[in-house]
Amino acid sequence: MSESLFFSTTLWFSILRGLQITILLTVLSMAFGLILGTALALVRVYGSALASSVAATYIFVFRGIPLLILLYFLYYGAPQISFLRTGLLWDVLFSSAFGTCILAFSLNNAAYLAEAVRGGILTVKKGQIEAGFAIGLTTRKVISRITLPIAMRNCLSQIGNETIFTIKASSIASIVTVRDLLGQAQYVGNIYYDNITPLLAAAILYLVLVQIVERLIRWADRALKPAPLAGAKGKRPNQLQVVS
Amino acid sequence: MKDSEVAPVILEARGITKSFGGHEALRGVDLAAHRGDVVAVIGPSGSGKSTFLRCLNFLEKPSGGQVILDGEIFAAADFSGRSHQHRGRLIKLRRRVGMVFQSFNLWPHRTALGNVMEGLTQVLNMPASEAKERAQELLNKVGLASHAGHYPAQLSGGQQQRVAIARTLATEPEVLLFDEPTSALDPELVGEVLSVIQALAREGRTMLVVTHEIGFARDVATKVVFMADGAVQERGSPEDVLRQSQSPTLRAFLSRFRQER
Amino acid sequence: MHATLPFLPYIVGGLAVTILASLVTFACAVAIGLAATLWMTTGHPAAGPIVRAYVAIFRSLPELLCIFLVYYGCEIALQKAAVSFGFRPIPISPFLAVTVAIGVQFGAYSVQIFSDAHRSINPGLFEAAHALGLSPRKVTTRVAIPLILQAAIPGLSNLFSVMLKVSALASVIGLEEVTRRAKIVAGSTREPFAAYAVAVVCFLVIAAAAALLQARLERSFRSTREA
Repeated sequence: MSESLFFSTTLWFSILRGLQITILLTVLSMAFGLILGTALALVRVYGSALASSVAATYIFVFRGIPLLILLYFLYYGAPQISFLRTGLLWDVLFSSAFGTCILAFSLNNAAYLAEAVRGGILTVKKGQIEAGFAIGLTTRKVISRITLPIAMRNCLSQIGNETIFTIKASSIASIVTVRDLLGQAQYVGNIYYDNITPLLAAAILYLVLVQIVERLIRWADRALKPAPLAGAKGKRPNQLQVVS
Repeated sequence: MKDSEVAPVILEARGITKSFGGHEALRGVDLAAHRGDVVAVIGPSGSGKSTFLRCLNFLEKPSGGQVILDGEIFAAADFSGRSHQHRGRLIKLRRRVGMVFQSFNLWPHRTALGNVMEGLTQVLNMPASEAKERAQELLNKVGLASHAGHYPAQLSGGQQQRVAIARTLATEPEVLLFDEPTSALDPELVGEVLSVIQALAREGRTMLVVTHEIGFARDVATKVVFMADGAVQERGSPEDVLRQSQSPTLRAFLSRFRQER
Repeated sequence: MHATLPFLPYIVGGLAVTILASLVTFACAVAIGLAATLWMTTGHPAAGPIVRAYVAIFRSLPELLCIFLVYYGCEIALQKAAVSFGFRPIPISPFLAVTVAIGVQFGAYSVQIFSDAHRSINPGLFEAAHALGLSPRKVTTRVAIPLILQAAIPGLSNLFSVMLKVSALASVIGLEEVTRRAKIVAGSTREPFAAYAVAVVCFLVIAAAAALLQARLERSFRSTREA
């Protein structure tokens, strides 16, 4: 490790550029993963037996495959299939390492998030759902306005864990030439013939990023759970005595 | 006051049966509520009274029988499948028959006002501004106008139940079902909820109240129904059922209650 | 497709390396986690802060970065040692580098699993052992460790299945497990689709086996608890 490199602005500027890519990879693949994962969770809970088992199979498969192999498979293997080499799919996803990474991470996140959201749905109290039906809401509205919002709050901390997992896992992108935080650190390391110093700098940024996200999640968790107000319990309205 | 003989029947249950696996929870329950009736349904726990109430708005699908709302027949068989036509009817039935639950079941992610507005905007398709105004009125009616911005977790049990009543009133149901509305409350909070229910009774609303409050049944109900073992054992005026009845099961049930008090 | 077929045993054979690496790494992680948890329970003033910092740091670092740090770090240290002591630099074993890197990192996860397990145990059980007159050492070895291990089984079995997947990362520093072998075959046959498909199937089979095993473990665990 060399101090002069560690304290050089060149190093920090270039790995900060990598940090941007890491954040972008995380945000995009979490967003797509959440959309697909929520859909899978809904199918898993409310779908027909067939649809539910298809979703369960998806979840099993994508939780079972190591992310690196999924990425290799999509990046090196998929272009062998001719219809993937044309059209929008190729332009957006398979032609670039970044696009393929987003695809692989999203597919993987979807499987884990589906399980998290499903857990959230299953912990929604039955009575709260029934109350929706009882006032005459349609099934669709009960799910979209009551079950899902409550479920999302229930599994917020798991979504947080998954975000942290994605931040770390996104470093795999560096293997297929994406200059994310780790990729950029290795790139700088190759230029200066010093592998260790840029890695240590990147490690510090990963630490800071994860700490920030952890704090954000904790804050959100608290903000969304209203604390009981002092005095709310003791407050008594005027009572009409009905019972003898 | 007792003009229930001449008022038309609004909600009628005919031969409602319900079995869970091999257990027969309801063995053919008949009941008719006239407009303005306050029917108290009493009985030991496990007698099927809550199940019966939940069958009336099909939260529990009856195994057999019919629910007749204002002349329209809803048969148990109609709702066994996934037919769209019947689902539409079911939603209409539920809008016209409101339910208040034992455990309030307020939606934790909405404020008191939000809970009441939900039915207005999503079931009656009222514009938000109008719904807000109407929801405020309803909260005012249950004495909680000042708590509109509170979340359920910030309210006492009694306050939550009153918000739940306001939420049920929002869709202007013609019949109100109360499923043991005070059973989950601390004793000192029971009164505030009963007083709201009593005020609703005075407005002449049709209500079916499953309750353990014998005092409420005696003082507020126009009819009392005693259920045991999934069937109606006794029915009549509060005086007839609570004082005159000779049924040994009912006497035993009532005496246990007196001892507890 | 046809070009890949002869290499099938070669790729699938990588599973042995995958499983062996995972087992050794897992043993490291469990040993670190158990030791750190027991150290914390002694109430030593330094234990809490040190273990907490260890967990916070290694929970935040990407596995791949740890592998590189250990690999390059060892490389440099060995080179320096070779120069100053005058022997020929020896190449670093990727197996060892991965075991150290992932073992230390997953040690952090296993600390969490063990300390949750420790918290879930009724403290009366330890008090009972002390009351019986057992020495503190015997309380630890004969009561605390078996109880903690038992309570940690679901968490640990989960950790192991994660470990199997993470071991794929060892391929980037040259450990010849399934992923690495698939990559080699893909390069020589020019059939990456087929080669990686074989790797995918390998891991799905492992995942299925792990799921079955986990279900059985949990069932027997439950039955011993009820008994």
